[in-house]
Amino acid sequence: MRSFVLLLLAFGTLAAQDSATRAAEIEEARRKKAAAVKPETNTPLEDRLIHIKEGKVLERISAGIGGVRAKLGGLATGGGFAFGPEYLRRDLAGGRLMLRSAAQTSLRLFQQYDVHLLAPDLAGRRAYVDFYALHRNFPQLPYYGPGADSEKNDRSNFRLEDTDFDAAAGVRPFRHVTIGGSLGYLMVNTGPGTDDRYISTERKFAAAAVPGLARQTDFLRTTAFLQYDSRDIPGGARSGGVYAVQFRDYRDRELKRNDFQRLDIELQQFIPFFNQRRVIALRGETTLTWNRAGQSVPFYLQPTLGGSDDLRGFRPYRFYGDNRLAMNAEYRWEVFSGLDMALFADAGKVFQRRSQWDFSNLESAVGFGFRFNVRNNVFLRLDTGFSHEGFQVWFKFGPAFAASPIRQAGNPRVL
Amino acid sequence: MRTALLLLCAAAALPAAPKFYSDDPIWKEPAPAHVPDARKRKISDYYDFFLHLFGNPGQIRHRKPVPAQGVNTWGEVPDSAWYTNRNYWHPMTVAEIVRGPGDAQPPAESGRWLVIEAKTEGVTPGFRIRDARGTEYLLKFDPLTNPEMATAADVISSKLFYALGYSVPENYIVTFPAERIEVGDKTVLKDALGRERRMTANDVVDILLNVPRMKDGKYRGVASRLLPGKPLGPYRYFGTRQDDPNDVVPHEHRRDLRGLSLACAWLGHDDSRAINSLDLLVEKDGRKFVQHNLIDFGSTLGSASNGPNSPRSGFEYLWNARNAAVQFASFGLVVPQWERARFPRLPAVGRFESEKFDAAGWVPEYPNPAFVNRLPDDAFWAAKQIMEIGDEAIRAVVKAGRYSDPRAEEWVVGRLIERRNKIGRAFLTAVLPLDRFEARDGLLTFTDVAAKHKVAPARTYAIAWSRFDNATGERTPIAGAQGPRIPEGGDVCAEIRGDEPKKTVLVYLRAGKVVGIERSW
Repeated sequence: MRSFVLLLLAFGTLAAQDSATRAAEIEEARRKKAAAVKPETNTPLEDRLIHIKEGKVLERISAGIGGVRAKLGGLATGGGFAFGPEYLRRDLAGGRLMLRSAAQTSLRLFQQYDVHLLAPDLAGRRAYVDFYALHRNFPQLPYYGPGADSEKNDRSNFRLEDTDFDAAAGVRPFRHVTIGGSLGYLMVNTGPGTDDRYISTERKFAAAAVPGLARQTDFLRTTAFLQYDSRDIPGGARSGGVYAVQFRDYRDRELKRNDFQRLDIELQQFIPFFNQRRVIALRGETTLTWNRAGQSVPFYLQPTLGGSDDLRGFRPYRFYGDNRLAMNAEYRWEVFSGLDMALFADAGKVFQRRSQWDFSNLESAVGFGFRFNVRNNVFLRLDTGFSHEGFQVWFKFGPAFAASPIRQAGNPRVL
Repeated sequence: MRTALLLLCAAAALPAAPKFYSDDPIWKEPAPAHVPDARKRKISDYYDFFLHLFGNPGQIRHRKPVPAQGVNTWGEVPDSAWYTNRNYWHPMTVAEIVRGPGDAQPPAESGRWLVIEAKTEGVTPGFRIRDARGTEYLLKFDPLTNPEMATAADVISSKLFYALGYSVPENYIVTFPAERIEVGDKTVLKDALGRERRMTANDVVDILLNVPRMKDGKYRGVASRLLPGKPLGPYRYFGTRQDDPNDVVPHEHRRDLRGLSLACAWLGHDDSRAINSLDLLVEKDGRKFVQHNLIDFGSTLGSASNGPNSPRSGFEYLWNARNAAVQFASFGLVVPQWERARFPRLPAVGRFESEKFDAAGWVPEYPNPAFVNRLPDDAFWAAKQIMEIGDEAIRAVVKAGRYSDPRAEEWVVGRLIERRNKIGRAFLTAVLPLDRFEARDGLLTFTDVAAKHKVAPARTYAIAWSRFDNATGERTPIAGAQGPRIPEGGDVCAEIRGDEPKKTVLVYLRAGKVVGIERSW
């Protein structure tokens, strides 16, 4: 009976019942269908989606008109939502040259203007050169005082206004390895903060206690770096690591009081297990500075701690110091193919003397997060960090540990 | 409701239609009706994804299973524009299986390969080329991280799908120096914004920078010979083409498409969705009709074309609310079996294994209506064919993938054999595993497929005979007629049982010829 119904359903119900053969029955079904054929169509929604994809509508919106588009976000944490026009061309010199320039302001009137000219793939992708120019005017950056003992309640704010020019070149002699250097000129000015909720920094702290607060200067800056990057997917690494070291020399061109050298070391390691659906992500990062007697590191160029990428239970820029140590550990697990969750622990400190480089007196934070990805690249991160100073919620585009101190072709905005 | 109406229609038709026609069982559908023209139809990846995840398109079985359609009275799929009976009913030699859809027309090695079209976007670059003989191919490559993985998979899987009866393109592993690629004078390239510009030799260099280079400086690719005919776009795994009069069986009920799920499970083809199929308007004997093909097997055998496949591949849909909830709530402490699967550290293989492979639980990336509707008899139909591809043939086909590392070749061979055997164990015994019925010398003979392939011990079966009325389908037991000897005179039916009462096979004979087979389970 089952097959009988089956056969009828297959060929018979549409066919004349007096077909003499199975073949005739099939042909009769076809004849009936032929009488009712119509052009193959999609739903209007699907047609629209096809049009969006084939017309590259999203890409065109993203690319803007004639290279001009809207740029959202990307300014300093705490500056409020930022937006502005951006000009981006990736098709110059047959696609071998990229030019990007943007002018942004934020709801708290932070401003940033930059130009980036990059030849990313020279010598068969073994070399790159770029030039970067940046002007920032951030009217209310937080400052809590120098060192690890600063108090949360001592929050002040100041204006940072700087202009930076930097030319860089790098080579990739081996797989995973990049060696490079840059030469730059940096002009800095600071001033009273505009956030009425907090006292201005120069009124809160004595100039003698905060190097660079009273007078700012210009710097000639040279940089050399070496990086080994074996991450499987930089936008959402599950295995491999990044090991980078960068040395920078800052020469005070005006006051002759702020010459210093800075060494950044960053280590990231991603340890996968259970077929990479679980990952232990580790990062250790330290910044050490040197200065001769009579010279100091100005506070606006000091390493900072606190924020969405290091101590996530603390406010951004919570700690300023000449030296810094930060460590992060994350346990990540895949909830489904588009979402990972994470439990994390952060620790770190700023310190005055390099001899204080140790694991004592660390500030710490713990928390959890969600990482949304498309094709294994994290495009949105939502982290909540807890510390003895309360909790912070971070809503960021891109993966954790993305803010590297290392000057790279794709990361020129490192002062 | 629709099913019920169809069944009512069928029931109402019973008195007027005989159970078997004189030409049953048919092994080849009648020549297709002429299709003067058909419109090319595109589909949206995203629409397809969400439609199948949340829309349940087509007639999906919920409470009542829907038997497969498009089959003859033996339950076999007749030759048609969808399917051709090959190795199971017409045993192919190993050489024929390796030959697949064809192996005599690789791109000519003499002369340049003219680029007609290039794909520069995304992570899997490629060219459409024309060789010196004027034959056109799609030239596709491996990802930088996994040389040989996608190209070998494409070649191996296409040959195995072909042996199983499906229409596929000819695929060739090719190696060539960069100089062989020449850009045509009129070749245009679409940039990331869809703007067209003239393609240059530099574009070829850029594309080849994303392709693994062999030790001798050459490049390796898979050249897929363009199928003849006018491309009409993919077919869907539900409904029928509205403009094709020959397409009368809803795709979700086609046995060849339901059974395809097992072939996809075997070969790890989790990308078995509409986008990897192609309808073509072809002409044969002066008649145009729509030919249905499977294409693009770069995402099989542990490959995802642009890298190794996800370890989840085949075990879970991309979205599974229950599993996601478990992971969310358990902080990842609940570890699914597939996360413990072990994969080789062989870049040419990707993530292809057999230890955790669950033949019955295998799923593609998202629900496929034909796969969802699969019933035990559909699975038996497919499993017996897969089991018929022997170890020697598998070894020979995998060799055609031209892995440079013998460990990769051995791994793939081993996994294919083990996965095939798991499919046999899972599906051959879900029904009575009897097939190849014949009336010979007054006896009904058959093959125990499960025993033949050693997935179950040989068993004895009880046979009881009855007479049946071809006009009504009614059966009347013949007293004392037991065993394999066929009762004389008239139309008779053998009911075969094993030790599981629900599993039976009814074999209908008319004039000493097996005309029908019905399975129940």
